[in-house]
Amino acid sequence: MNIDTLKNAWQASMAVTPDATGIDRMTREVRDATRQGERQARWRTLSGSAAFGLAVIMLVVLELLPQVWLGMRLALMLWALSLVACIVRLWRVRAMHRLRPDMPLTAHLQACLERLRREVAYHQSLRWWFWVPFGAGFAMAIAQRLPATPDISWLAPVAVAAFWFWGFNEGPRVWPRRLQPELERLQKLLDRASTPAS
Amino acid sequence: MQESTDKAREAQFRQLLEENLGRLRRIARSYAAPDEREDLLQDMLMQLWRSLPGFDGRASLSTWVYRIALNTALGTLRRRYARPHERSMPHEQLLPLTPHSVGDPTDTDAILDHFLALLAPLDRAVLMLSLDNLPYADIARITGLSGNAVGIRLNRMKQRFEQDYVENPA
Repeated sequence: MNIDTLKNAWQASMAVTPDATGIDRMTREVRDATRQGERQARWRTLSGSAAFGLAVIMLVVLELLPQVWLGMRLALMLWALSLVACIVRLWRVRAMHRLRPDMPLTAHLQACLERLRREVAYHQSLRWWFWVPFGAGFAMAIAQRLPATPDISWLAPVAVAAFWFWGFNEGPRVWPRRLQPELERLQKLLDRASTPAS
Repeated sequence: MQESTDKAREAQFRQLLEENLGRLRRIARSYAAPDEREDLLQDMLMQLWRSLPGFDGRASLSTWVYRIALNTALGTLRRRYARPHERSMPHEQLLPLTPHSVGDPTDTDAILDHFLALLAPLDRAVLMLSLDNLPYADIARITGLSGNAVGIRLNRMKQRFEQDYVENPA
């Protein structure tokens, strides 16, 4: 037995001649499944954009209400800016590395690795682009509105402060932690690509 | 206009299937557990359908199909094994062999499966392309390795095969 035996086995297992009906059925299934996937992707983009637009409009409307006090106005402005900055940066990360599916294998793996690294960096940067503006805005909004002596009205701000503390510490770590195994797996595949099989 | 474009794409896809379905099934068999092969095949076919308008004919159709199929297979494999909770069976059982086929030295199909399962995913791709009689230059174009690296890898894999299955069969 030698490598030619494997070659023969490979060629024999590949020599499947599908009939015309089977080919037609598969073509229809693939076409329909792809169209459904594209519809879902369009719907996701549309609903995401609508939610983003609605959130910005809501923040602007609140900002313009006459009853809103100065601290709240500043907070709303900060939150709107933070929201826009986070979403725009996310779009840029996604758009920067649209992978061509017909790239050479190692280049494709390299591009996947780079994209994952950028995603991890994006999630880590949320500490400064989301959590800090959220906390600062919240502090501005409630400053001078809380009674000087602690009472029941302190409960809500304390809960928000605890949430902020958790978010600032843990939030930017959750996604990187989830992406880490995929990152390691990719790195391993690429390391193996650079060292010939042993 | 849209309808005629769709019809043209369908005709192109039918031709692609006629020429490459066996190849695609074999790739799915080499990279997925038995109960996940059909899903991987479906993923590869959907990716091919989506990419078909971008096929410019600079590479041969089979080279292009191999690139897309292998990128999809490795992508699925990488995501699957990076998320253990989604994994239905451990990596070692990717290509489980029945006691009968392990013990039968004439079952070359089982030996091929067994040997492919022992290799790292990239080496597996290189060997599969070589078994399909592709020249080193085409293998290099598909994998992105240099022609020299392809040759070294193949030689080492051949040596390993002969050592494990010819000289010292288990």
